[in-house]
Amino acid sequence: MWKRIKFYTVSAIIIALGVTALYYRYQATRGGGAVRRTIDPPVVVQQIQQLKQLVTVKYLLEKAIGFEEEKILFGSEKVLLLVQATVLGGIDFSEFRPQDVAVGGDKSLMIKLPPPQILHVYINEKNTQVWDRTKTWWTPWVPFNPELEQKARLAALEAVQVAAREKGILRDAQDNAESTIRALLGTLGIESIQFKAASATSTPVSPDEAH
Amino acid sequence: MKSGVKTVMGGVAAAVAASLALIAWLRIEEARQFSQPRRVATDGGTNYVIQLIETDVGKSDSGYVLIVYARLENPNPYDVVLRRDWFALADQAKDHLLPTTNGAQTTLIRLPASSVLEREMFSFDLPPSTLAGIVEMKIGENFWVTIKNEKQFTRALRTGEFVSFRSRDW
Repeated sequence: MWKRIKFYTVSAIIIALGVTALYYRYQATRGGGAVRRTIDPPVVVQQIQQLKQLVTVKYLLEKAIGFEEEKILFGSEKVLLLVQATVLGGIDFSEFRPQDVAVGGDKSLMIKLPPPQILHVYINEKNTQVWDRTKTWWTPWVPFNPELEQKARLAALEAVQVAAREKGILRDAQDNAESTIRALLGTLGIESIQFKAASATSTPVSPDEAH
Repeated sequence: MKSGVKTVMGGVAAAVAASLALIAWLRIEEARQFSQPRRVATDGGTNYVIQLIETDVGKSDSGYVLIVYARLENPNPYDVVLRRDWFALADQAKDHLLPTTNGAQTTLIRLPASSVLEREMFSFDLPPSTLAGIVEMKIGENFWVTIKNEKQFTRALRTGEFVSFRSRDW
C-alpha cells in the first residue's frame, strides 16, 4: 500500500516539475507573456555645431588597456581590452582672428596659426576586443559591473591621446597645416609666408592663471 | 579543555568579524565623504551642485593619466555654462594642471535649466611627481576638494593599466 502511495506521489511530483519546465520553456520562447515593446523612438538631434577645423594628420594607434575597479567594500574587478583608435590632429580655425594675419611688402604674409590640437579621437570597433574579464575569486558575491567595459574604453581614449601626443601628433599637425596653407596661398601668388609660432595647448599653468 | 578551545576560537572569530566590519564601515564612510554633493556658488552668482563619482588613474609613458568623473546638477531655472578649465588640479607642490579639452570634453560645459549631467569626465595628464602626495581638485572659484590622500601612490602600474577608486584613500 505504502509503496503505491510513494510511487504515485513521486510520479506526480516529477510530472508537475516536467509540466512546469515545459510551461516556462514555452513562455520563454514566445516572449514570456510580457508586454512586448518595440523601441523605435524618433531620432533626436542633440546638437548641431559649426566646425572650422582643418585636420592635417591621422594617427592609428593600438594599445592594450587593463582596467581595474576597486570595489567599495572588498575585492576588485578587471577587464583587459585591446584597443585600436584613430587620433586626428589639426588646427581649429574658430580661434583664428583677422589680426592673426599681417600683410608685409613684396607679397609676403605673416600668419599666426592657432595652436595645433587633437581634434578627434575614436575607437575602431572592428579591431577592438575584450581579452579578459575577471574579479577577485574570494568575492563571488560581487556582481560584474556592466559599465566596466565602457569605463575602460573611455580610459583607453585618454591613454591613446596621451600616447599620440608623446609620439608627436601636435608637431606633425602644425607642420602639415603650415605646408597646406603655404601651398594654398602659393597658388594665389603669395611668395613668402612666415608662420608665427603658436604654442600647443599644454596642461600645466601657474596658479594665477588657473583662477 | 574542549570548551576552552571553543571559547578561544569563538573569540578569534568574533575579533576577525569585528575587524572586517570596522574596515567595511570605514571604507563606506570614506566613499560617502568622497561622493557627497557639494553646492558651489561663484562670485558671479552661478551656482551648481557637484558630486564626485570616481577617479581613474592610469600609467602613460611619461607619467600618469587621471580621470575624474563627476555628477553636475543645475538647480536653477536658467542655463548654466561652466568653463572646463575651472576644474583644475593642484598637487602638494601647488602645481596646477588643467583638464584636457578635446573630443567630447568641450571647453564649455553647458547645463540646461534644472538638469543633471550624470557622468561628466575631466581628464588630466600628470607628471609622475603629482601623485607623490595629496591631490586636490578645484570645483568652483574658491572651492577645492581632496581627491587623493597625502601618501605617495606606490602601486606599480604598467603602461596602459588603469585603476578605479571611489574614495580618496589611494
